[in-house]
Amino acid sequence: MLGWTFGIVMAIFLVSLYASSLGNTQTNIRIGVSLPHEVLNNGEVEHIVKKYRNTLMKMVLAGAVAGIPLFFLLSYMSITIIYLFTWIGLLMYAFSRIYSKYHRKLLSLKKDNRWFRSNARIVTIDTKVSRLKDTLPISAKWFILPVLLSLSPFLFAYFDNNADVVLISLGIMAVVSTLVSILLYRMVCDERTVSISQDTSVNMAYNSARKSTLSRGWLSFALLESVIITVISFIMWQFGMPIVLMVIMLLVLSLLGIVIIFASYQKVQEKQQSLKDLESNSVYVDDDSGWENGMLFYNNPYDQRTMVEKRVGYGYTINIASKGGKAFIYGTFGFVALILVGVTGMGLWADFGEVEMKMVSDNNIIEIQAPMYGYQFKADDIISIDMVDDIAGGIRTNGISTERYSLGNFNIDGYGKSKLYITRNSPYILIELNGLYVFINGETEAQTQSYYNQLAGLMGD
Amino acid sequence: MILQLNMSSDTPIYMQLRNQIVMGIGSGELKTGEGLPSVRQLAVDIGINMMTVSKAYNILKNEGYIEIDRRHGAKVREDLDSNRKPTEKLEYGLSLLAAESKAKGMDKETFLKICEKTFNDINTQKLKEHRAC
Repeated sequence: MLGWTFGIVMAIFLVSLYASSLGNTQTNIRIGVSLPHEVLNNGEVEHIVKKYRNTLMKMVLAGAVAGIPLFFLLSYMSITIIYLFTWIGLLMYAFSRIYSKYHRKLLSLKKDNRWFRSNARIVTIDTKVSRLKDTLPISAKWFILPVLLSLSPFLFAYFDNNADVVLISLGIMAVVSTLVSILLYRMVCDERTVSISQDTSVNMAYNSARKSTLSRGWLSFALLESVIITVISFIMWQFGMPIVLMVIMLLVLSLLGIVIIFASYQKVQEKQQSLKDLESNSVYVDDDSGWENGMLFYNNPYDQRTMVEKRVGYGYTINIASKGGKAFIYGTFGFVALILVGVTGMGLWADFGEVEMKMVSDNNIIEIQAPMYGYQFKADDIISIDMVDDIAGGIRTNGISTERYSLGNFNIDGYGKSKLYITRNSPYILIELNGLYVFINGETEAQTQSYYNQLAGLMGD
Repeated sequence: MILQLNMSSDTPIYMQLRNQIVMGIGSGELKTGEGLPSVRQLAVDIGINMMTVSKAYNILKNEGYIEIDRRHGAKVREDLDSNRKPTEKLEYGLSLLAAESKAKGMDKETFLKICEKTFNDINTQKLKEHRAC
């Protein structure tokens, strides 16, 4: 189970690293360097791009091989985590080295050939497009429909008494997805206009292609989610439905939503590219100098925006030269550092640290003292106690399980919801409470026996 | 019309905006009565403060090139040609240029020829390229 999870995480990481190298061949950007269209098929350019990809492929293969030892370390959580983080860190470092090397190579080729025409400090505006900008996206009024629809599960929940928790969660899901699509619709509307030509009608068509298509895409997304969630919650309310089926439908729904958005972006790119191809009177914008390393971050102090459209790929990225962008970067680094230190520290502590689990009783109250997952209950609540030698197996829901001990919340086969406070070297005491089982033992068999006698004594009173 | 602003130029952005819009009107790229983007739209598209755009528009309005309507936004004035003529400013600018040319030994005929040619084909591109340097 754990091995599979790590394997999938590592595979996704490797594939995404390689995929990022492919870039989008429809644009005029190669390895983060913007080039005039007529030189994209230039032999030297293609040679550099090909070498870059081959090197990256070798790195991915080396990474896959270097990941194998991880699967022999799985029994030690902390070493596994440290290994995984180191592996990811080294691969990212290698990737950035390879990327920078070929980025610089292509950039110097561009410089040598004088493929420059302008710089990032020049802003080009078409006054007509700027003036008519707000008329390009579909009207915001259309969003009233998904907003109203997404409220319907709450209405059903109001009339229903049984499944109302599920209905309310469906409602929250619908409202959140509608709000997110409205937010992204707003971002599309606020995006800067772009001028690619001296001809205003071409600029109009170019900007309309993006704003109209993407705004419609987000509207369709909001409509699809709200309509289907309404239908699901109606069926739930009137006829009932197995939760598993509902979850599957919701997953399919999210996939459909993603497909709609990707298709919209694809369409925008096709339309814009065809306009660019036809354009002879073009305004070639060379914004290389505004991009950190050509693609990772936008770094342009002459631009006040915090969020900008990505240069390669879909969506937005941040301007690290802006105040908001700086705050975001420092915040993210701080957060990641905190998580890394925290998770590694926790793992080390769980594997090698001193874990003390103790049971103490005070009158009617029995307290189990354990790090983080301590618990207490009344002696009157005990239904039965028993000694067991073995636990069949189960799933950890929220807790720690290592070679030496298990601690926290589990779902144990044959029992159900359980709390475990056990080391591996003696039989266990099984305490049955109302709807909950507690497994506990001491460091030694004598200790376990003493706990058992204590509990039996309390129950006898 | 296409505006090209150099964000790192010594000429302030509001001056660049003002000059390019005047050039646009002079060259016919902006027709009389044609609408201009609102202050907010232009500020967002250029990525600058609204005050900067507002300053440029106010100068253009005071100089009589554009009018600002509360409902319809900014547009090039319809009655531009019958409006007050910029004689005083023109005379000052021209006399400075004439003096510079004369000091460097240019004769009257060449000076007038250049004036005539410049007047006949006002080219916004030239100004933009000059600014871009």
